Amino acid sequence: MSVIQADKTVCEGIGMCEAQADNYFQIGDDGLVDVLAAEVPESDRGYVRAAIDSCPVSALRLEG
Amino acid sequence: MSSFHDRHLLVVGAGLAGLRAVEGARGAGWDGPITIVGDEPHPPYDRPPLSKAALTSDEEPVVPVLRSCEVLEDLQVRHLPGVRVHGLDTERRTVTTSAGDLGYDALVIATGSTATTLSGLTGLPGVHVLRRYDDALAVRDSLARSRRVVILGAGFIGSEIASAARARDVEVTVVEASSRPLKRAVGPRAAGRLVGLHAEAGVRLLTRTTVSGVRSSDRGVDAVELSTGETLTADTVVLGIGAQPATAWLAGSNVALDARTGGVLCDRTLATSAPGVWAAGDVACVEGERREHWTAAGEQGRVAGANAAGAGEVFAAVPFAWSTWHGHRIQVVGETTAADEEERGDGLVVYLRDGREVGAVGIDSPAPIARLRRALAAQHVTADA
Repeated sequence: MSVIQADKTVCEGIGMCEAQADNYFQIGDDGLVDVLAAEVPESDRGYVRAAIDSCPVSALRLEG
Repeated sequence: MSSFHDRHLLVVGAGLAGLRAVEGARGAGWDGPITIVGDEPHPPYDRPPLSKAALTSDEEPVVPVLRSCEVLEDLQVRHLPGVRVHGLDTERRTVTTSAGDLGYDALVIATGSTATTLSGLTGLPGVHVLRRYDDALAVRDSLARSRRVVILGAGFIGSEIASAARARDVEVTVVEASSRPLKRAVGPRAAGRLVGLHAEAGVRLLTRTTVSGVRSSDRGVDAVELSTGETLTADTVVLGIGAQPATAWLAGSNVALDARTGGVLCDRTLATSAPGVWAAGDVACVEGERREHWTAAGEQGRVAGANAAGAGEVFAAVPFAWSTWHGHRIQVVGETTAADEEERGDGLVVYLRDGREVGAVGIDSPAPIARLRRALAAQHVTADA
């Protein structure tokens, strides 16, 4: 099991994460990322990793 | 017959589209060797920070790499830096390069574009374009030593550089040839609001104006002469007047180019006119359109790589771009040129067709933009089904 960490002070609300994994990420009413589910099972790790890597301001991390 | 896992995927161009092509191919099960060739000495890096953080941050800039060494290792991709491509033979499936001939079974063209220059200005100390990391270092260095900068072109790159210069308290004049800036990107009302951000920040914008001459000394550029007769003192000049697809190496190959845009002709699967050859990013002209945005380059790269590996995907992403000017966050989503334009509150301009929202430009308005982008993406999926 891996865990998503989001840094809202870095997030610019660009939404690449949501475009690729909308069951894990959504841009909220404050215009910043909300993590809908922080824990990522092994089966989803690949595409969540891709969504995290696609963040142009490096606001997301996958730990574990 | 060569076994499937011996097949070689060659990606020419080591920017975002090229890197995503590698990831797309691996994701779609390509298990043969992959080589990515770039003409710069750096590992694959990200361009948006070049006109933003790299110019404004007080910290010493570092190459904004797209992936860590570990991730690149996991992808099992061979990166050849500092290699220039000279030609393509689609019959022999060979790319001629400064490091010798490279054969391929599948090829992704992701050579991007080259910043447009003006004869008479290019090569003069203090005159810059901004496309590559090394350009960004030069612009940063030049801005740090400047009191007055002239920027040619009021598009997104020019505006971001203007913003970086104002943040350093440099006097800025933007010179724009057309009567209305951002014509290719957004409608007149959104353009008016965006241009207003420059005025608030103390940027002088001259429209319907071109450069007629330049004055220089041993130190470099001293002043820019304008079509209006005015002369602007300047110690830095930056050109933000567009970019041409980097296709010179394709001359004489079977890869067809679009007559209007000069980009590599592609269908929605990113396939070119030559068998075994796909294209993605700024160099690609997909169904008549070159979408020179980060989001499109990444998605086109992924689709081209996946299709090179046999996936059969189509490129259908909702257009999306972002920028930061003078501390204001700008976001552009969907269709924002030909549709009816309606100004709303909260920094939002919405575009409508037959009463339906098809796009928007937001200034510090990320939540409504995110909602519209979500809705448009859902429609795209429905339309493709």
